[in-house]
Amino acid sequence: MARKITFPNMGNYQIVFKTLFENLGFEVIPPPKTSKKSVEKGLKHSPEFVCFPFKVCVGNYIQSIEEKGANTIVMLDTQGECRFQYFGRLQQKILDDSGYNISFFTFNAKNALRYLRKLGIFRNSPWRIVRAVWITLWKLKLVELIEDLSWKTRPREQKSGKTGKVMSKYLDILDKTNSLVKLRRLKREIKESFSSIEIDKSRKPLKIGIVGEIYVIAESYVHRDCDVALGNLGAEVHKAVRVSTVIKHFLNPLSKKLFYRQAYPYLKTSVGGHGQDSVAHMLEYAKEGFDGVVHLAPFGCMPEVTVRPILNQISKEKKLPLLSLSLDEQSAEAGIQTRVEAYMDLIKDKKIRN
Amino acid sequence: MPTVGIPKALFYYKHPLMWETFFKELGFEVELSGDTNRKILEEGVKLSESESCLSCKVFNGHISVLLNKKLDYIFIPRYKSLRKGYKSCPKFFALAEIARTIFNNIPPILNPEINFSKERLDKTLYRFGYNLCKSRVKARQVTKIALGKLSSYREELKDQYYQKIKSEKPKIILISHPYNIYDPFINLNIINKLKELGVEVITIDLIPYKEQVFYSGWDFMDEMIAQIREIVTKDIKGAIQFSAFNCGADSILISLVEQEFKKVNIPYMSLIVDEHTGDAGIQTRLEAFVDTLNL
Repeated sequence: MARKITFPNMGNYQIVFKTLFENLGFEVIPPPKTSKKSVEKGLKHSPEFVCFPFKVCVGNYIQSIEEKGANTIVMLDTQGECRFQYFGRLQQKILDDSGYNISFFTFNAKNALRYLRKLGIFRNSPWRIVRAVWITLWKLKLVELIEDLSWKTRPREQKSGKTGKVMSKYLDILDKTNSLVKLRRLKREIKESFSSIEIDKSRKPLKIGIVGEIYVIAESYVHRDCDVALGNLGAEVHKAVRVSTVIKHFLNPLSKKLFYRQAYPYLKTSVGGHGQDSVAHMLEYAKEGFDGVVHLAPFGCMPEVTVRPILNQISKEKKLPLLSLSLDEQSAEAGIQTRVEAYMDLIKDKKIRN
Repeated sequence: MPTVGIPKALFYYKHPLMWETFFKELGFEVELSGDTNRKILEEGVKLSESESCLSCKVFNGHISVLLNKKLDYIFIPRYKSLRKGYKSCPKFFALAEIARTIFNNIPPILNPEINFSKERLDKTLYRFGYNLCKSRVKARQVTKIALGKLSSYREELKDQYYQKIKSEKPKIILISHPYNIYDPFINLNIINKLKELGVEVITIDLIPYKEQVFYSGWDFMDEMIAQIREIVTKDIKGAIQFSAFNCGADSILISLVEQEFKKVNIPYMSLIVDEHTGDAGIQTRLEAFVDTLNL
């Protein structure tokens, strides 16, 4: 049976994961874009009180199994402290109990090599593996470049919606490109086309940092396009936790330690997930003179809920306005939009008064 | 003589009596926050983050009660792991920091780290004791007494278990975290209610078990599963899992525990309470559950 690999959605990073497996010689079935339907499917099969990302992931799996015939699921386990460490195992159990015939691979530090062998990755020539990883890293870089540029241009654009169009166009092209030479050319092209968007230079956008849980920050359906809404309201957003930063911290423990040291005055220990990251990033933003911070967390997320009082405290002490949003299947786009608007009004008001 | 306040919630029930004895032997005066009551709960709910779990809210309520007393120190340890290679609930990690942000007038916090992955409990106690009294002999002595108290308490539990297992009445096992089981206010006196219905309640922490690896990750998870595997071989009529609302760990645990009982065909019920749960609702559900067992 040929393997048809699928994985949970994670915003624009989907392109990156897809590339990795495609270049290793697998048939990849990217999950359909997360929608109301996938959330409903996930809700039906998940435990009631588990956090929102779990339900969305299950929905993604079921959609790609039912609609596209995937038979292998790849999931990650970072062996942290929060619920995420049980995601893979519990999801496997749920899918087995529901009668889906799939093989499930939950990668963690201990079983990674064994599982890679089982998947048959080492049948590829070493050169091919290196090339796959290299292309993946390039695409990761370009995806984040596109995001960066879109955050920068969106609050300044003259014709609203232009940035979004350029962004989705280049994400599409990036998805189809599969050669290093072309990727290099694409990088230049992306930069040029973003700078060709007409911008209003007189505008001085507010700088807003987004902290919180990595999945929620990345997946646009889960945070209901909060970053786009902020951009349209005239804020230059910056997302704190990204896949590239996670990889950097993984490869360089010293920088990780130095980074977490910033959070020490408020939080001396990891609280699982990206709890300590949120604190450290918020302090970083305060130092860099940002105008506000938006904290995104799934409802009842163990680490993020734990650090929320600390974030409130930092907000009070550093005079940095904080909007903390809890996201779950009940949260509607209009609700998020309204709160973001009110928040932006408050910050603008504060800036005028000072 | 310096006074130290110990909130009687969350971590207190992980090592009952040990910390009190430890501080008393060191020459501290110990102030316990006492049992949970309506006022503590309300205070805790008001102060805490609204999405936090009920147990954490109650914990903050206990601290607020302690702050009314005259204290030199307040004791909030950092429980990181209670088994080698395992982790505790992440909400236990930052209790001290959260307390510091919520309460402005909090006295200095004594905050030792209990991490079995790094060192054994006796070493942690010894080092913590030495830092407080600066005498090696005394620290060693105090550690020994405190640990002795803990182990004698655990022996008592074991005796209780062997008595209960012999009982003629239908036996029900109550599964929850120790800080829910031993707090009659949080669990709405569930043990007494069950007793009145004529069943023998065996709480899960009584059950002696062998350490095994099932899921790894959280220390209490593998402990509970091991205890459940032990108890299902005995003559058990039913199982009730009890959890506080928005407990992150229980959202995973419930499905795994349920699966254990499904395998052996023992009736299982899960109850979730929050600060609004009424007495009558729980009573009805318990009665219905016990009725089905007798059929």
